[in-house]
Amino acid sequence: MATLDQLAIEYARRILNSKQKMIEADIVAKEINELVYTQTNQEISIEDKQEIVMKLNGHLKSFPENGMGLFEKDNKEFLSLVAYINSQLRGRKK
Amino acid sequence: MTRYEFLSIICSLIAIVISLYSFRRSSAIAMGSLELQINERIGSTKRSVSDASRDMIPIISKEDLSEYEQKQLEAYAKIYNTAIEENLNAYENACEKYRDKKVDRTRFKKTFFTEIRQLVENPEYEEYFHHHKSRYKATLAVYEEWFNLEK
Repeated sequence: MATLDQLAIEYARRILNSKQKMIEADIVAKEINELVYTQTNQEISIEDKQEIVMKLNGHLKSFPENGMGLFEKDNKEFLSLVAYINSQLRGRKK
Repeated sequence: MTRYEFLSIICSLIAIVISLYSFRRSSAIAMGSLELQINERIGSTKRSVSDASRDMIPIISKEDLSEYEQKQLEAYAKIYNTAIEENLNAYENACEKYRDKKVDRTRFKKTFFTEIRQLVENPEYEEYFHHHKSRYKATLAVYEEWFNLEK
């Protein structure tokens, strides 16, 4: 089995490269939950799963084009709606 | 000390431990409940902004407006701006709770780290977050705490 950090980096790349990031994140979550140790074929411990998630979160934040982790909410779409409506309203002002 | 006195002290200590545990647990539950309320309020106010925006779309997509449509648009714009302020009030209220330590501060920061920065740095909201005039003091204070690296 790859190291926890290698797995986290690979999962981060998959999520960032995916066109449907939320769906990919769901798939990654399921995979993490089903990981087994290569030598024993036993499911990995909860602590190791948590460590992968925390490392994944860190890698997602560190990618220059992303900067955001798993736990943060994003206002980008909402604020772009606000910008659009405001620009339309400004254009209408007499 | 008699055996009964000793047992009485032990029972008192157990009662204190149980009540401390119950207090901590109910505080944690209250904190969690408050976090839920914060998230629901922010979500609800965002939906209000989206609804107000949607109502305006048929009018703002027109090139020329009749006098009636112009008046309609003015009314919709007021509703929209009210919804925006309600949304900012929701964030302000959340930040007040954070500063008063009424919510889990680590989790709050993890959740709202990006949103607060996007809000305060958004050029569309410059009039709301002008430092000296802004009434959104708690939001600005949280932004300063998290992002003012010079401090």
